[in-house]
Amino acid sequence: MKRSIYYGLIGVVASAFVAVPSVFASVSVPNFPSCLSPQGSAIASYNDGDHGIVGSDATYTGSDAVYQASDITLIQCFCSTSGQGIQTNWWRASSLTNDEIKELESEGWTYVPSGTPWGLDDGFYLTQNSSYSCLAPTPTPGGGDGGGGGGGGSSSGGSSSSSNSSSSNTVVAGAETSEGQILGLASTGDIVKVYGVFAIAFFSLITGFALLKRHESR
Amino acid sequence: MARFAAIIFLTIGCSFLALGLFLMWQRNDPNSLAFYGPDMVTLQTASASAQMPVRFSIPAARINLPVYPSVITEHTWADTKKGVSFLKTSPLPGEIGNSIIYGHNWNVLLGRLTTVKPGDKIFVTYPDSLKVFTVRFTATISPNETFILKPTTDRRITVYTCTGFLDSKRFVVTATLDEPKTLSTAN
Repeated sequence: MKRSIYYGLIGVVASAFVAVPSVFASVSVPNFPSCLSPQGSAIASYNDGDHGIVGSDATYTGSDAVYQASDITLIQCFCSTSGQGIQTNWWRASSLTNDEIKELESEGWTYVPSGTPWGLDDGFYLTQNSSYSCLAPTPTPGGGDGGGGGGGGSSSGGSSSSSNSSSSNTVVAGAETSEGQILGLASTGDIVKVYGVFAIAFFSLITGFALLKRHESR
Repeated sequence: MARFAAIIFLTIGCSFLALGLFLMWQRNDPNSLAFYGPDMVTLQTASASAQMPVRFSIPAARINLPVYPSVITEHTWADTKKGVSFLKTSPLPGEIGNSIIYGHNWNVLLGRLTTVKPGDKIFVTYPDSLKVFTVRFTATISPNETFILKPTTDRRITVYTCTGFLDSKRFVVTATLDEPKTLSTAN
């Protein structure tokens, strides 16, 4: 009897370990490049003008560029005239179920029913914003409003891209070219080690003094 | 027996306390860089290859440090506690591509990198020339967001260090080359 209870408990614990990750790993979010180093082809670029950011009713003034990173991913890089940047990740998530979309919405993604108003292909998208700092764009004389929406689709307005644009050089070089896949950035902080050392010191001293006091009280 | 154990614990406690204080001093006191002796590596680097950068500075953040070449071995980034690390397998700063520079977030190293703003200047000194960069973007990202290392077609440097709670994030600065300047070697 005891043995069956024991195995039953093990089974419950094991199933919890198996089931919990499977729930959280049900939706695989694609990787998006960063506006710090945009990848893919620029499909829209405006040096200045008013732009829209999905999830916000406000109008944003500054530079805006949209990059097609893959068939299903785009990034919109907006840089305001005050140097506040907003990156919007656009995910054409047509293969997702309603439950998966709801799960992603609970994780901060915004559901966009159609990309057409944003200058993108029709079909629904999931978007997510993040902030960064950027060099404020210099308005070009007579630049006009570079295109109301944030997305770009097939638009071709605007002159040159913003400060993150690249030249026409074809040489491409970076860390990955010779390192293969890099799994993570360097650990350039060791504050955990410092805290750990002080914690060991603290507990050792407390224990030492306690033992000393106990010895003297005898 | 209790007295003996107490002495052991107190000795360990004092030792770790001294180690902790040393680590704090190492992180915060500019003189701690001299703890490692004269900056011979910069000289050695310069003599070994005139092409390697020797100094990295961001005046706006009062950062001025020697540059040490580094590599990634089996997914482990080599680093230094004496300056900033330049990933040798990335392009030289000023060349076409994405040059990677990183360092610890100690106050004496890149601890003030988080104060850098777009528009600030970054200077990378070679034995016979100076490259000037303008900061374009800054952001706080997760350690697994390695896209900042991606190759680029412009002349860019990407500088990063740890930030956030228990150093769980990375603060990234990207800058592009302004204009090449040549120092007079006669001086």
